[in-house]
Amino acid sequence: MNMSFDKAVYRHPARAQLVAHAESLVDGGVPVSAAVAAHAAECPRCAAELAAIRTSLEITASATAQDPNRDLAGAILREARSVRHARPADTRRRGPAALARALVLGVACASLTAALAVAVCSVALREASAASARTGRAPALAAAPSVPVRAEDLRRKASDLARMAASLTRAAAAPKSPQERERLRALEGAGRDLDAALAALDRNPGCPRAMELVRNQLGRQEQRLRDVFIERTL
Amino acid sequence: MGVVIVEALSLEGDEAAFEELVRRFNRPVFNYVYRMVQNRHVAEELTQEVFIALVKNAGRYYPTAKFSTYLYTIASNMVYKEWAQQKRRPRLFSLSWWGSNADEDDGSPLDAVGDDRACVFTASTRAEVSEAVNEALRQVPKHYREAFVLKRFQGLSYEEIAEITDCPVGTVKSRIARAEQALRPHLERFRGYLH
Repeated sequence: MNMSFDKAVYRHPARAQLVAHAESLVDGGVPVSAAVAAHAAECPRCAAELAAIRTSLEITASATAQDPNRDLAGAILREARSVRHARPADTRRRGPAALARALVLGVACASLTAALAVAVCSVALREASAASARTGRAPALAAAPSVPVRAEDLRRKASDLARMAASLTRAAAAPKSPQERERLRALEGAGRDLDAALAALDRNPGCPRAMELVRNQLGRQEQRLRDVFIERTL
Repeated sequence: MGVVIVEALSLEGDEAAFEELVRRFNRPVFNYVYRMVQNRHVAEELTQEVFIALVKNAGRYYPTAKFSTYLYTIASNMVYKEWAQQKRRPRLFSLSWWGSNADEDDGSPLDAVGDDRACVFTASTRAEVSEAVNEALRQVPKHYREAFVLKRFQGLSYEEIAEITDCPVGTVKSRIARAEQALRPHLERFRGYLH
C-alpha cells in the first residue's frame, strides 16, 4: 500500500455509485466509471461489495418475464373500441343547452338546500323558546322541583326536622342497642351540620351555594331520621 | 413516432396504429404492473385500465417525451391507486386468490421434456429463481421496488425513471441501491445457480 492519501482511489464510492457500476458490468460488460473501477481494484472491501451487488443483479436478471393472458391485447382493443364509440355521444351532450340545464339544476338544488336549512333552524329555535317559556327557570333548577328553593322554605323544613329529631332523641333516652346508639350519634352530627349550614345561609342571605349546602344537609338529616326510625321499629 | 402515436390515440384515429401500440406495449406494461402488485389477475385488469386511460386522456399526450415514459407514468399511477384501494379494502380470503400467482400459461417445466432444445433443469431453475425474485420483491418497500423494477426489468434509464416517479435522478439511484440491498439476503441461496 504505497498510495498517498490524496488519491481519489482512497475515497470509497457511495452505494448508489457501486450499484450503477455493477449494473453497467452486468448489462454491457463495460465499466461506467473508471474511478470506481480503479478504486475497486485497490480496495478489497468495495471489490467484495461490488461482487455481491453484481451477483444479486445477475440473479434478478435471470428471472423470466411473465406472459400475460393471450387474450389481453384483444380485450384491451375491444374495451378501447367501446370507449371510443361512447365518447362522441358524451361530447355531444356537453353543448350550451346542456350547460344551461346543469346550471339551472345546480341553482335549484342549492336553493332547496338553503330553504331546508332555514326551516330546520327556525323549527329548532321555536321549540327551544317554547321549552324555556314552559319551565321558566334554568334547567338545573327545573330538574329538582321537589326541593324548596326559597330560604324561608329551607328554614321551615329545617325546624320541622329539628323537632322530629328532638322527639326521637327524647324517646330514646336509653338506647337499646349499639346500632341504635350509632344511628343517634349520626343524627346528632347531621343536626350540627345542618345548623352550621343554616348559619352560613344567615351570614350570606340569598347565596345559591349556601342554599345548596342547606338543601344537601336537609337531605342528610332526613336520611338519618329515617335510619333511627327504622332501627327502632324493626 | 410521436405523430403516429397521437394519430393512434385520437378519437377518429387509426385503429391499426392503436392496435400496434397495444401489441408492442401490453407485455412490458403487464410485467411492470405484475411485479408491483404481485397478482396476475389484478395486473391484467390494471394493464387494461392503463390502455383505456390512454385512450380517454389522448388529448393530454404531447410527443415531447418518450411514449413509454408517458405510458409507465399512467401505469405507475394506476399501481399506486390500487395500493391505496387495497389498504381501504378489508382483507378477505378469496378462492380466486388461491394460485393467482401461478402462471397458467407457462405450465410446468416438465411440459417441455419432449422438446429436444429444452433443458428441464434450466427451465425449472429459472422458474424457481423467478418465483424467488418475485417473493423477494414483495419484501422491498414500494418506492424502492418501483425504481428497481423500472430499471432492472423494464430497462428504463435513470432519467426516465426520474420522470415517471417525479423525483430527482439521485433519489432514483439511491432507491435502486436500497432495493438491491433489501433483495440481497433473499437471493443469497441462488448464488450457486449462476455458474
